Amino acid sequence: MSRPSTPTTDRRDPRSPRRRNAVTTVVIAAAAICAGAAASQSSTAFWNDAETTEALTVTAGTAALSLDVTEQRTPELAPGATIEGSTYALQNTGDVPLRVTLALSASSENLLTAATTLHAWFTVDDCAGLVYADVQALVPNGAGFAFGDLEPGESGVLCTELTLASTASSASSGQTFPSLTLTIDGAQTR
Amino acid sequence: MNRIVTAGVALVAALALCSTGAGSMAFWQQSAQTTEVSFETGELRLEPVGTPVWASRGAPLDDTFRPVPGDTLTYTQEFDLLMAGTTIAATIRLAPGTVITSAGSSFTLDGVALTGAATFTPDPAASQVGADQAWTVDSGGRFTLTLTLGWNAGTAVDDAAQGATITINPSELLLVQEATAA
Repeated sequence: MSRPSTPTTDRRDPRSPRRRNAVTTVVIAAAAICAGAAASQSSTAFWNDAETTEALTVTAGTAALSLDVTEQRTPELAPGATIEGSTYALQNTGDVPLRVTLALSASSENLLTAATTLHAWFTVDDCAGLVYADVQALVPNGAGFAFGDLEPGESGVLCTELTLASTASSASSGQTFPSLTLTIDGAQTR
Repeated sequence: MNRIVTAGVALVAALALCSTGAGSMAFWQQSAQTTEVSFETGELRLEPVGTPVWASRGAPLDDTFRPVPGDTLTYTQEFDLLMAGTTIAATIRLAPGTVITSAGSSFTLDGVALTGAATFTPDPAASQVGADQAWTVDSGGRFTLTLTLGWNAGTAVDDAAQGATITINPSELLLVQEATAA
């Protein structure tokens, strides 16, 4: 007569539930030991210690110029005449000192542009005095020039004059000026 | 009966002899003890001293500080290195992955081109191991860790970095005991 089969409980049998429980317990214990060692930052052989420096978050500064027209003028030029041009309020609104340069450009060239010179200078308050540089002459699409340094927050007045050369051709009479653009550029100096 | 009594008396006498004479049953023996000794273990620790300072141009940074190309930021922190042990030796190093990982290294952080360096003053052992910012130390003392971050001027990314938020994460300073020759 055969006995009915029953689930084995022999621990030596790998299929035994008791053996599986024992293996699971050992694995959990080993994992706990490893996790504990990692959490405590203990070394396995030698001492060690660690410190950290403080973090820092900063916002970078900017280089910025603001330019506002304080007086817009459209002079009518004649040969040999020098007429006051527009004036501008210029300010260094950034965080770095800037070397400011001026350049004059024309969208196209004709007899007028060939005979025209723009004089520019920079003053503290009005266009009567020179502070940062002597008057500089600009011709359309010619070389620019640096007229001074502006510290952060510093401001002044940019003054202009336009002169039509006395040698201007009579053919330039009645011509229209092409669009003139005064470009002001600031470059960080330190 | 007498034989049994005689044998019993002889056995008792033999046992008494063994217990009182401390002698072996067959060979001589002697014992001795080492003297007791106590040791105090050494130590190896870093202890920050004072308050660390981030500064530029010699002035501590405040909320209004806005770095620009050409600026140099420095971080200064004093530490006491507690180091004791007859044969102890150790190295101090900046953990890999910190903002400064090698002397004079150049890197870009949040769009800003930086050059970084770290120094110990005084260098505890006047030595530097390789280019990974590691120093061998053989004695304790107070030293200063200085991290220097310079904003490289004149690089193509400078303009794009205007107004950028720059975050310098903490650097981890590791003190590790090193094996010494037996």
